[in-house]
Amino acid sequence: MKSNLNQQFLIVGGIGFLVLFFLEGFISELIFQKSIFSDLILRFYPTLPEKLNSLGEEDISFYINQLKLRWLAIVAFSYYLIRFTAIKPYNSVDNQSVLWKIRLFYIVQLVYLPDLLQELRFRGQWKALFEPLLLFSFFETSFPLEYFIQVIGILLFAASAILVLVKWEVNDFKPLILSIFIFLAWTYLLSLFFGFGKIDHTYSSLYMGLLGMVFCRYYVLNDSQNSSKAYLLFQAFIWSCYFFSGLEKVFLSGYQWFQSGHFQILCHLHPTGLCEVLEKQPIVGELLLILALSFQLLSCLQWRFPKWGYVNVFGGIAFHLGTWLVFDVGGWQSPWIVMLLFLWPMSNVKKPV
Amino acid sequence: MKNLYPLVLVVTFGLPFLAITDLFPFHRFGMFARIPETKGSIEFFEFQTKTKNGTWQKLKTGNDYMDQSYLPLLAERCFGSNDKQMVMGNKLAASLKDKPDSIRIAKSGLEKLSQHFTIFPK
Repeated sequence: MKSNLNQQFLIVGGIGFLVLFFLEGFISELIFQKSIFSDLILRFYPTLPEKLNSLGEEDISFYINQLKLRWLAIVAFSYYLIRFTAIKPYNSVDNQSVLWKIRLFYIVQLVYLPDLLQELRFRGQWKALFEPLLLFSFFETSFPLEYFIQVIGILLFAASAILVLVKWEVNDFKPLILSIFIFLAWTYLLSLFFGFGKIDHTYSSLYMGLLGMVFCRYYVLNDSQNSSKAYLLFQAFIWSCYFFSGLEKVFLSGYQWFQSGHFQILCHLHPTGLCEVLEKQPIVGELLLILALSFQLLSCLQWRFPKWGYVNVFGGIAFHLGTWLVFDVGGWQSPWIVMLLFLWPMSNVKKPV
Repeated sequence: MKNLYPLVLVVTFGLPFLAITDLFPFHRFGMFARIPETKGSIEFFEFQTKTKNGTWQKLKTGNDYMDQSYLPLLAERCFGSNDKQMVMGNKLAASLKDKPDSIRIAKSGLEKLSQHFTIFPK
C-alpha cells in the first residue's frame, strides 16, 4: 500500500515536471500568439502577459523554473498530507469539546463581520474605482447599493446566531447548510472588498477557516463518532496559511531572505521607530527573519504531530505582534491572532496507534 | 474518499501558489516574499491633488487602510500606461466630493528623483 502510494506520487510528480520541462520553450509563445489556448489562459490569468512583458528574458526563465519547482513542492506537500496524516484512529473521542470549538469559531467570525461591513460602507463612496474580480464579474457588474450589503450582513448574523445558539445533534445536516451559506456570504462580501485592485490578507486565515469549517462539518456528519479528525482538518486550513507563506519566501526570495541587507530593505518599505533601532543591529534583524521563516515552514508539523499546535500558537502570536511592532503591519486585534487560538491542540488527541 | 479532504486543501492553497498570483476565493500568501530588491530599486507611488494655493498634496480618502494599502498599488499600476491613467484620473475625480483642478501620480525612490504625470484633466 505504502509503496503503491510512493509510485503514484513519483509518476504524477515526474509527469508534471517533464511536461513543464518540455513546454518550457513554448510557454511564452503559446501565451503571446493568438490561439484558443492563449484565450483560455488569458481568461483565467489576465495579468500574465503583463507580468511576462515586464520581465526580461532571464526573468521569464526564472518564472518558468519557478513553475517546475512549485509543482514538485505541491506534489511533495500532497504526499506529506496523505502519507503522514495524523487523521487515524484515536483512543478517545470528545465530540462535545469539538462542537464547542466550532461554535466559538462562528462567534469569532461574527465579531469581525461589523468591521468588514464598515469598510464596505466606506468603499461605497469610491465605487467608481470598483472593478469586479474575474470569477465574480458574471453577476457583479457594479458595486451594490449599501442596503443590499446590509441585508447580506443581517442574514449572515442570523445564520451565525442559529448555528451558535441552537443545540444540534451531531448527525444533523442543517449546520452544514448554514456553514456553506456563511462561507458563501463571506465570499461575496470579500469579493466586493477586493474589487478595488488588491487582494488583502486581513481576513485570509479567518476566511480559510470558514472554508475548512465546511469540510469539517461534512466530516462530522459522515463520521460523527470521531469529530476530532474533522477538527484536525479544520486546523490544517489555518496552519497552511503560514506554511504556504513560508514556501513563497523560500521560492521567491531564496537564500537572499537571510542576507544582511534584506531586513533594511523591509524597513525602508515599512518604516517604524523600532525598525530604525533594529536596522542598526543587523544580526538581530537577520535572526528575526530566520525565526519567522522557520516558524512558518515548520507549522505543517501540526498535521503529523498535533502537539506542535502549542508552538504554532505561541510562535504565531509572537510573529504577528512582531510584524505589527517592527513593520506596522496588522495589529494586536488582527483576526490572524484570534485564529491562532484554534490551533491549540485538542486534549483528547493522541499519537496514532 | 479519505484522501479527498487533504486534496481539497492542496488545491485551495496549491493553485495560487503554482500560478504565483491570487485566484480569489483562493489566496496566495507571503506578503513579504519578493524577488529581493536593492535600496536603489525601491519605489513609492501616490496620487496627488492640486490645492487652491497651487501646491500638491497626497490624495487621502479619509480611510487610512485604503490610503496605505490600496491607493499606492493603484497608482503604481497605472503609472506606465496612458490609457489607464486617463481612466483612473476620471474615476478619482468622479469620486472626490471637492473636485480638484488636477490630479497626478508621483513616483519617488530612496535614491531617485521623483517623477510626476498629470492624469486629470488629460
